[in-house]
Amino acid sequence: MTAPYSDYALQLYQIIDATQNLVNDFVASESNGRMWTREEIRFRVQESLLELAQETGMLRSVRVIPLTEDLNVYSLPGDCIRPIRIMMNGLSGHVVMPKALSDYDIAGDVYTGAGEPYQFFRDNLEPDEIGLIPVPGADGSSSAVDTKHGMVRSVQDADSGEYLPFDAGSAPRRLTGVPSARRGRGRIIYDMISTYGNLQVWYIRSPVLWEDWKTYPDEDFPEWLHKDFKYGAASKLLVGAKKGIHRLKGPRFTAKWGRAIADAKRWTKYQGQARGVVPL
Amino acid sequence: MTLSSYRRDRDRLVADTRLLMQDFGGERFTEASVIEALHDTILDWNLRTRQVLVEAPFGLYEDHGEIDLRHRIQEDDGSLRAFAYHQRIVFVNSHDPAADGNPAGNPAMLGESIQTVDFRHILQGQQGTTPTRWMTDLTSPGKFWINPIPSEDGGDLDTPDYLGNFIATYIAMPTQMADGTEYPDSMIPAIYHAAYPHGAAARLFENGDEDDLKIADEFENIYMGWVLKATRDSHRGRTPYNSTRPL
Repeated sequence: MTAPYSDYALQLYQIIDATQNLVNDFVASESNGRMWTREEIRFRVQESLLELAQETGMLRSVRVIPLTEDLNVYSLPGDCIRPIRIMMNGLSGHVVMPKALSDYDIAGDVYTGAGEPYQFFRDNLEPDEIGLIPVPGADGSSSAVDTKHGMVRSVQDADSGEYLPFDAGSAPRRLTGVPSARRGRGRIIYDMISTYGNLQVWYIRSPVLWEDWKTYPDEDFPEWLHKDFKYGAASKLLVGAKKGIHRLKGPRFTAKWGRAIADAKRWTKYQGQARGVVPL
Repeated sequence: MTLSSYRRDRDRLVADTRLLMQDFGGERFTEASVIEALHDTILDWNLRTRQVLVEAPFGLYEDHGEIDLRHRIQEDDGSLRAFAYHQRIVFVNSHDPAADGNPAGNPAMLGESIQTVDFRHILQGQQGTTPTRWMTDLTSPGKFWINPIPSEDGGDLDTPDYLGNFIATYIAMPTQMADGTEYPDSMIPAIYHAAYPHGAAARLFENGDEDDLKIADEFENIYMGWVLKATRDSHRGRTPYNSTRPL
């Protein structure tokens, strides 16, 4: 379990206890309530976190998509809510700009070239797909190169020679205290494909599923937000409620959750000088 | 007499909160729940008023364009308050602030979005000895990119000379009161301690019935009134840095 950054971090069971208190359904800590089970509340908590991630766009990640010659439609990463920036050839390459297919349609045109992609389109594709213009004229690199700004294929224990497995249920995160060779401090480890000749996608991602009662949420959520998760869960529990007190509390907590999202949106954006001048 | 005469320790704040809720014997709310509500209130207070603010040096490393400031703070010896959100980044260029305690000679790095960088055809991967811009829109909270990416490590942070590194100013999460005799975070002026029982009582009454909710609204309004006062009176309200700061 990832250690928290502060005393304000809350575990899932604490959020559930707090939610039960808010909706007047608290019996005992770590117990089901009379009206809702812990699992039902956990589901609402997860829903709230997904809403938070969607509305604020605060959880961001980057992946490399390997390109194949003559293939112009690719799947976005499985946790991608929406892409925000696409690059070719890594950090010193070029930005791939958006293009609508309708631009060709209106002009009565069609694009048939092949080469290094410099535009992408998403219209006429499935939500988790991205198309490239022109069609890649060559396969991208597939070699495991430890580039300066690159990513690592795997981490190997220097003593045993064994490859360390990734926890598939967790967001990629930093390794600490592990006997392995890695470059520098603060380097995030991902599945590795060289960025050369391939697509690098920055995107807004969904939060990691939060299922264990005694764990903290996705570590990219600021811990100052944890105290507000109960409002999101409570607002969703009380939708369509019939009991008087719940009909009173439902809109109240919905408004409070909305304010928490608005605050989070503001405080996780650039807050330095020239705020209001720099477009974000 | 000074402003610190208005200080209230945790025991006093708990008692004041109970007084507001007319729960003198703790029959309705446990002490632990009152303390938690007070800490959440003080945290919310600082997110809005930005009174607890930390300025500290951190290392720059060759080839490191992405910086996880939250993690760096955690890796520190524990003396730094936990990170809430960014305020300002300064690159320690030619002037050594440790020598005479004056950091003013160092240029602040300009906060930008990756869009403004891309539109000016600046390569994200370009390297250089003097980072001039920082960007938060490619990363999750607590992290940022700098540009140009450092082409060499900065100086040793453990010595007074930390040229080639950066100084980050960030809004911090206030330290919690560990026992009854402790006061709220020392960076918060004592005159605002009076606000916290109202904020805590509002939070606790949200767990109650219809009548409790009405009282919660009243306390919430009083608490937010204090927040507005603190923001109005804060010296940062007079600097160009905060002229567009929303409440």
